[in-house]
Amino acid sequence: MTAISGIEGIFTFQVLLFLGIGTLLGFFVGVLPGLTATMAIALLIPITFWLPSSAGLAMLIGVYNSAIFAGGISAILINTPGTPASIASTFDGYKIVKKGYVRLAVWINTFYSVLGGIFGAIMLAIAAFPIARFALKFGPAEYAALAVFGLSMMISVSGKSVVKGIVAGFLGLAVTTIGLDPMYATQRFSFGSPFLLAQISFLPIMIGLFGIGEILDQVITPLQQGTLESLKEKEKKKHLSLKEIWNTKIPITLSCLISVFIGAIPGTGGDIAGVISWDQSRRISKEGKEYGNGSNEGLAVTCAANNASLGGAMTTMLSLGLPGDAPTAIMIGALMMYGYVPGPLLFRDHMDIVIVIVALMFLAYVYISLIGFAGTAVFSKLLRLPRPWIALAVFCFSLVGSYALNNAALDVLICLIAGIIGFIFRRTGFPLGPVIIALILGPIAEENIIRALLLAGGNALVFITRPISLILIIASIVSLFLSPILNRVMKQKEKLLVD
Amino acid sequence: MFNADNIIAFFIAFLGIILFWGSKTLPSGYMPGVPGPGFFPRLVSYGLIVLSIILFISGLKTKKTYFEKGFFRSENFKNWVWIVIATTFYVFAWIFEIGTFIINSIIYFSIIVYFFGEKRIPYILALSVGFTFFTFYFFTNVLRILL
Repeated sequence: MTAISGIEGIFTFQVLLFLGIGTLLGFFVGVLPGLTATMAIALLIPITFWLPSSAGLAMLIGVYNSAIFAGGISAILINTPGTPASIASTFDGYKIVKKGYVRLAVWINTFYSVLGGIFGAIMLAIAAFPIARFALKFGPAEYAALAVFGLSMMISVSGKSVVKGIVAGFLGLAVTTIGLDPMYATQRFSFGSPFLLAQISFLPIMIGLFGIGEILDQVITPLQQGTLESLKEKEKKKHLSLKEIWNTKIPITLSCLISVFIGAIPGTGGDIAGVISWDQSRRISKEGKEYGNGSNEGLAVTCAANNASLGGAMTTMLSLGLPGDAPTAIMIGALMMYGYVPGPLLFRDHMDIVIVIVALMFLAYVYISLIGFAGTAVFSKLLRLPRPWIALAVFCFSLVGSYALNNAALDVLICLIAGIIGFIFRRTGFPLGPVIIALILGPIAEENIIRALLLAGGNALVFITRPISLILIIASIVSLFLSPILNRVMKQKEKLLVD
Repeated sequence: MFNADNIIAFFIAFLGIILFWGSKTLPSGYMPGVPGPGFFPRLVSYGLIVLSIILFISGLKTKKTYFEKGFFRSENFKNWVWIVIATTFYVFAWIFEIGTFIINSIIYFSIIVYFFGEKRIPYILALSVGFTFFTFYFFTNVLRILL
């Protein structure tokens, strides 16, 4: 398939239909606190497996983009972020609603989410290709160093406890050692089982960790959710005027640039991007003093930032094969399932799929704008759905979806075990992000380290004598020390802003 | 006082020891300077053992237990246990092909939605039957997966 045929392939009924279905599902997931885009993507992968790649990716991208947008709706209406990325939207959104400007707040969320999302998609279109072209120069040493750099990001996603984050990552690495080793095809820890010999698929693990684990945690600790009070419109203002939109140009541009950059850093996501963008825009904006007190501009900045970060995350995922955030980590799995390995070789060998993904990122926001402007009031009613019904749906699709991947009943057992482990991790403060990073990057790191050493005749200096590899190793070391410091600074900043 | 961190540290150390023991049977390398299939598991096992020690020590310093008093007797925990037991039976029935998907699922979904908090019998039946048939139809007819 050529790039042009890739674009032509998008404008088919099937792709557009599944993009729409994905967008609607993403709304559902994003609006409901407790359900995340990561969970939704993990649950949908077994279903999309049976679709043509364009249609399947359309569904996943639709879910990804609209879940982040819809998370802002519950942040605004009930002061509870629907997804972690929307936490910054609670700073101003709910206060705008309490003043009586309900429709205005929802309009701001829709308009600026679409604006930020399209900005991110433009950055993806501009940046991904040159980065991938550069990465084509990578050999095994560079790939190994890149994987190690990605693994060092386990610390940046560790949250409060770095030790627990690294433990979670090493547990993920331990799982990757089961089965045939990637270079010599030697059996490892399979205990004679053909199921284990074929390696434990990481998709049932992800479905279990994020689907079943989350629901089990909510059984123990029911989500403290705000109530959808009867919201009265005190004023007739339903949207911003053109002049008001124009006045936000500088803070919005700044927040979008910052969040694209943050989104591109492996392991960081919309939550960090939203908070930092909000804070930085507050410093330069003329209305900065109003931020945190129900400022329209404050809400606009966070909505734009949340969605712009997706473009950065997708850039890193597509061009380097590193997960920009948790949902893109799962999307790497989805692409691999279709036989596409994210990274520079994807651009060389499957440019059509790259074009498809970039185009779908734009198209998703067309759907989001249509549904967002027309149907937000309807979707806010989803907040009234009983939690047991949602829990049942997640369990159902987690278990049956795990089976559907390989028609293997043992995958269902893996999903259940992963769900219990996910619950224990949530309960005891172990982050899940490092597990996913390790599951994906562990085999890549091992294979390329061994391959690089084989090609260099056993000379370990190959990782230092090649400049790109050296830079990545230095970056890994810097991130090991810098990430805990940055995490602490960001958490302190977030605490100050929330207080 | 032992808390969850200490207990998890024991498990991590145990896993690390198993990984180390298992990797001893694997060749560490076939040519000088090039790691073999046993290298990576051994590296991970070292990491797990060291981290388990660090986790154990940090666990001793913290006062947090993660399981407050009365947790294991609480209504939520009992519901949680029933959900896990029911799911385990359901999964093993699937593995050993006991019963049929539809009958097993209706029973299983009824049980877990009850312990999720839905106590109204008509809703329980409607949800369990509805989800079962929707899932069955979707996966067998749309995705062509035999359940």
